[in-house]
Amino acid sequence: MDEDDRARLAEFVAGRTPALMRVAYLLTGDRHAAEDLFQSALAKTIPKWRTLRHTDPEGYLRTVMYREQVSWWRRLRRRRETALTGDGPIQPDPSGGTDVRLAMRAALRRLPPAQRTVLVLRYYEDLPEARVAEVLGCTIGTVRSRTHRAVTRLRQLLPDVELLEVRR
Amino acid sequence: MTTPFENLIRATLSDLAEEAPPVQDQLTPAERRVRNRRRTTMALSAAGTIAAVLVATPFAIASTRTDAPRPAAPSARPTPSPSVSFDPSARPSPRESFRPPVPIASSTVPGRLPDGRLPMPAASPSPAPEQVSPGLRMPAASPRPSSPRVSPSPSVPPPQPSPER
Repeated sequence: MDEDDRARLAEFVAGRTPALMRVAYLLTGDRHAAEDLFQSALAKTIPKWRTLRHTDPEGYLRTVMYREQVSWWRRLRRRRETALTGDGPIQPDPSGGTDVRLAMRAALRRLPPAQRTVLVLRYYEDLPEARVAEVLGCTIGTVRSRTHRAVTRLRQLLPDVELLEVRR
Repeated sequence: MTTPFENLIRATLSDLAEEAPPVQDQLTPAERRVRNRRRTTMALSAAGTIAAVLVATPFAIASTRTDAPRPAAPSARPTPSPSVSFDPSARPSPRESFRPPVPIASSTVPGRLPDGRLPMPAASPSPAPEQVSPGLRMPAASPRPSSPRVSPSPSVPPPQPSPER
């Protein structure tokens, strides 16, 4: 890699690191795991930078991150997610939905990485199902089933959330 | 259609994303990972190649060896092939007590028949027993040089053709 390529790579990393770190943080739920995921994806992108610099390096890097996260789950590597809050029932409080958000955050972190990745792509990145399937390298049916399972799992983890919203 | 539950998921994910910690330079550790990965790949490739060579070499050497004895080195004196020089229609002359070996006495060129012709390519040095009837076998005409009755010395007169032939 010559100086020009390296300068462009450094510029790209410096400019896109905050956004990519947010995605990595959503995928992993932990700061250190997010850094590890981002660096791992970046390490896979650097050798291909010469061919990617004129196309879409960010899309490639995001795809590597998504697949790397799912791959980690498949290979049953050590779980990098941190311990979460207790499983006690959520009690309403007058703080304007903070309890609901906290409960949902804890429930999101308890999802398997594959399901959480689908949720991040569908509800945070706002990608259509076809695009999610393309990014993850699976079928649309797989995306739909994973989304359905993730939402169902969240409802199981938060049985009182909708009730709490209705009360308000 | 977006349900309130999905809206809650979106809002929570957005909140979580805003809490992502700011990080410093990520390029340097990523490049270090690239170097480490390349080094690991090279080391594993070399180890795999060495292991393959170590495993395959004994098999390759063993496959070149056979249990059968090695073929003998060609002797200076030619050994005639009985199946080639033997004529089934030939019958020993009553005046001859033995049939001398055909090629050795008169042959001056190793590997040639007495009349100078080369043996047939299909000739086999070990005659098949089922091809030669025992009645036609002539043990006295053994071509082995160790036989005392067959002397390969030049003093033996050249074979005389049988009058019947």
